[in-house]
Amino acid sequence: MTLPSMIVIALGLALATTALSTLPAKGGRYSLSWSPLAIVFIILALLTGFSHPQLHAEKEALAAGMDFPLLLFLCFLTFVGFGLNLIAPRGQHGRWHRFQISFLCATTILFVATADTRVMLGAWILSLVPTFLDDTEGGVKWRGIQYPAFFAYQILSLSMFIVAIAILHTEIETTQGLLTYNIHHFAAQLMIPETSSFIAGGALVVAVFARQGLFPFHAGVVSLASRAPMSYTIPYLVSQSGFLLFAMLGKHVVKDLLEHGGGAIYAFSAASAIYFALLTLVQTNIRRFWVYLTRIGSTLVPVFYAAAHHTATTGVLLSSLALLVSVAGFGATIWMVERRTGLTTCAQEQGLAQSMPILSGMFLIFGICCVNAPLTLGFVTEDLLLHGVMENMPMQAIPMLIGFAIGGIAVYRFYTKLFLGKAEFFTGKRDLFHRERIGLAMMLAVLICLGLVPRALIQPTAALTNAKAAPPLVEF
Amino acid sequence: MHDFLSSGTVITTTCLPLLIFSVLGGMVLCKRQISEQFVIRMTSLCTMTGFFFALTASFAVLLGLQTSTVWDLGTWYDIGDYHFHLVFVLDWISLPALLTATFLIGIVGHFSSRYLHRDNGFLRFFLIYLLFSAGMGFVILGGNLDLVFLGWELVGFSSALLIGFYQARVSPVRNGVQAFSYYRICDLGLLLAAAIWHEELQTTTFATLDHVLSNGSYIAPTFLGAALVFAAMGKSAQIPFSSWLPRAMEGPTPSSAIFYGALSVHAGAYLLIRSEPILQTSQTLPVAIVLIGITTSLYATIVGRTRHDVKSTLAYAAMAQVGLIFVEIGLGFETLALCHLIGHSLFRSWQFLRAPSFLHEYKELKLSPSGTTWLNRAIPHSLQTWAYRQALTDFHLESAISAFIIKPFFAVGRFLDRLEQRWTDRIDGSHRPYTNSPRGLPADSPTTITSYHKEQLR
Repeated sequence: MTLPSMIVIALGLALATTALSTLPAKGGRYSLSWSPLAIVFIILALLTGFSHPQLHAEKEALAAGMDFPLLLFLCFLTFVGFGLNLIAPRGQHGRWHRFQISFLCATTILFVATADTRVMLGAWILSLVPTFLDDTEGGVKWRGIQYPAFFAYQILSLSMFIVAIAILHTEIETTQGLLTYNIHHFAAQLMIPETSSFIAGGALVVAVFARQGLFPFHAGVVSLASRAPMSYTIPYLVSQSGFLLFAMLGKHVVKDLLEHGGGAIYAFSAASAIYFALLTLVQTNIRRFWVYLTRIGSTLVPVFYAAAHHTATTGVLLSSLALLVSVAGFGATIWMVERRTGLTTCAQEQGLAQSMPILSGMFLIFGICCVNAPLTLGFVTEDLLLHGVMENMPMQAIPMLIGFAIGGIAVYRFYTKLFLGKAEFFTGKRDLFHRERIGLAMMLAVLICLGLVPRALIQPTAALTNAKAAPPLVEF
Repeated sequence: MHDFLSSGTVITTTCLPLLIFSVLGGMVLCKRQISEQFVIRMTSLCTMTGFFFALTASFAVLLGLQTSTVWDLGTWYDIGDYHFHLVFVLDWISLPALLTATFLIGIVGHFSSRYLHRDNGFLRFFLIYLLFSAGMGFVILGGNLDLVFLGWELVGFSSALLIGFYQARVSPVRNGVQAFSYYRICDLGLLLAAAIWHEELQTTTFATLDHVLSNGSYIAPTFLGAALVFAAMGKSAQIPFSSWLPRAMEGPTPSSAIFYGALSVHAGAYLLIRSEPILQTSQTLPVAIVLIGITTSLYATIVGRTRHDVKSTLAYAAMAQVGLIFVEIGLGFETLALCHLIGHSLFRSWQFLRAPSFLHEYKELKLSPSGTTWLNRAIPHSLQTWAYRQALTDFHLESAISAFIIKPFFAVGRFLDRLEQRWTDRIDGSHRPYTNSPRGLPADSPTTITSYHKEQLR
């Protein structure tokens, strides 16, 4: 079975789930029926991929080179989507929550899997549709722009993406006579004028920065996370790992820009890790604390662009996957706290651990996983990243490390504010339900198991990134 | 036999605690009832087997049946030129320390089983205790800096959790945050040292350090050594990173004994003993270590004399002794430092464990000798008064750090946060309060928690 057919099946299952979740089923049972099948399918695909000789050889075609990271991302996303569906609340708005989760997963799969930039654009726009809707007593209704800040930055990002694609499309048609919207052709372009490449690269960098919520384009993501339902926000932040794959292809597009300003881009973004860590530390709002914590991890994207060593590149790719699961798990625990207590801010100690001890433990564990706790996948990837960056940008590794260190302090501090202290307002047992335990345990098991046996991910990914360090050899 | 001893020692002191932690944690997650007896038996199994193997390996080395061993398990992962080796070392440095550690972990674990009997946090204590045991195993037996760092993080994390063990009170919780903050900042030094070590020396294995350093000239040993010293200062509560140690006494007595009397507080000194070849390549680092040790010892001795609770007094006494160990390391007497470390660990942990019953038995504590001593006669009274006043306030060390570093840091953060919120509100058009329900209700509306209650009734 080829990769495209695997993607089609995974996408089809995701869309089917989305459709089924809108049906008035009993407690939304149908939305879970696809997930075990998809997981089994993705695991089989992964096993097939491991035995495929092409994945162990030097890559000559970018399209084939995307197989392993793409498979990994699909597997992780499906897994997380299943977990989030389990964790999503039942009851009156349960279907709406599960619809958003499944829909975001489906559009992300479509975005990452396709090579046609027009389809990517369509998937991107489609993923924004739930932000215009709201589930009310009378059903789902159109509400218009509910999150203006988020929408503004999305428009900026989309515009820059369209500009970049338009320039590349026009230049390739002019210089090589090829009419294409294929992103692999864009990534492999070698002969367009430097000025055009510079402008397209700059537009693409802005598009990625705005989409990923990097400094200084993070206000949109922060606004979304503060106000939108968690059933949209968590999958949205998780999907950013998929955009890293898109950034991977764009790396060759921005090479001219990087030659002149790569170091500055990286230094600026590394410093932003400290900026976000500082904001995380002083937060009392639970959602803003979470989103700023995730911004620390998102500063890896510029590292990816600027790092020449394939150790760093491998570290960034795998770190994005580790963050995918950590962010989802941490967001899920926050969601559970909100549902049980209605808390939005936390200036004083709340003592919630007395009524929800296991949830408090999960909150802490996923929180420190977001800042690369030992014995987890994040620890391994941070190690790779650090050593890769030290190869050619040793001084710029320090801000990154400081950011993660402060992030760790912020997580522990917020944990003590939320869960420790004397319980005055929230008494009685409100701990995890059975399905919530399963969902969180699954995600934690992935982080720990892959952290203990990381070879299975590192070696195939490293072989691909090493091949990608060379100029692409796609022929038109 | 040789391999069996080495592998058994490593596995029982590093992997077995983690395995038992996973088993107990899994049972908690599955909502299984776990009795105190079960927890005690599992922990005892872990500590006793670790102690048995450490004792046997020590005797084997002592009797000449086994030489120092470097047990290489291969690479955990590798990419290009970079390798993360799983290397454990059993030599004259690690075996005595391991023997002491496993002995004390067992003793304190047994003490804790009675001390915390019927306490609500009994299981939580032992879960964290197992995590700490595994971390110490990695720190002591780790044959390269990467493994030491892994254990280092586990030790710091478990330490902070146990300081805040009595979580219903605010004071221990906040002290735990402070301790964790110091650990985290100083751990940057260790991480940076590991990265530089890889780049400069192509390996972080302690066993080959002498050989590698003697075979080439390297530009960064001073910087590398400084990073290691920075990390050690935080863990061992040396000035200016010392204010967390007395605050850590808020935790239960067993954790104070094992962490701050015995093992955790000596981890920094142990790291420096391990890295002695790097320290000796620099001319300035040994001097700096001696100065740090002397300053900390003097500071802790003077301040400790003004404390009126037994655990704080013991904390400052431990700080002073660790300072002296630093002096010994700086002067190049690593064997003496190791002996001092082991002796101090045993003695201080005994003192901590005895502290609660000591007060009960004696009803009062004599803090200073009656009458005048030669020291009282030698030092002018005005100077004594000044020193006493300064010592009561820790020589303003903590308040200075708070005023010049922590508060400005937080002030900048809050200022930036306000700017962020204003910018976001401006783009959003109007300030609408955050809600957590898809229907836009205020967060404290009763209907926002109906989903939870409905779930309960199903």
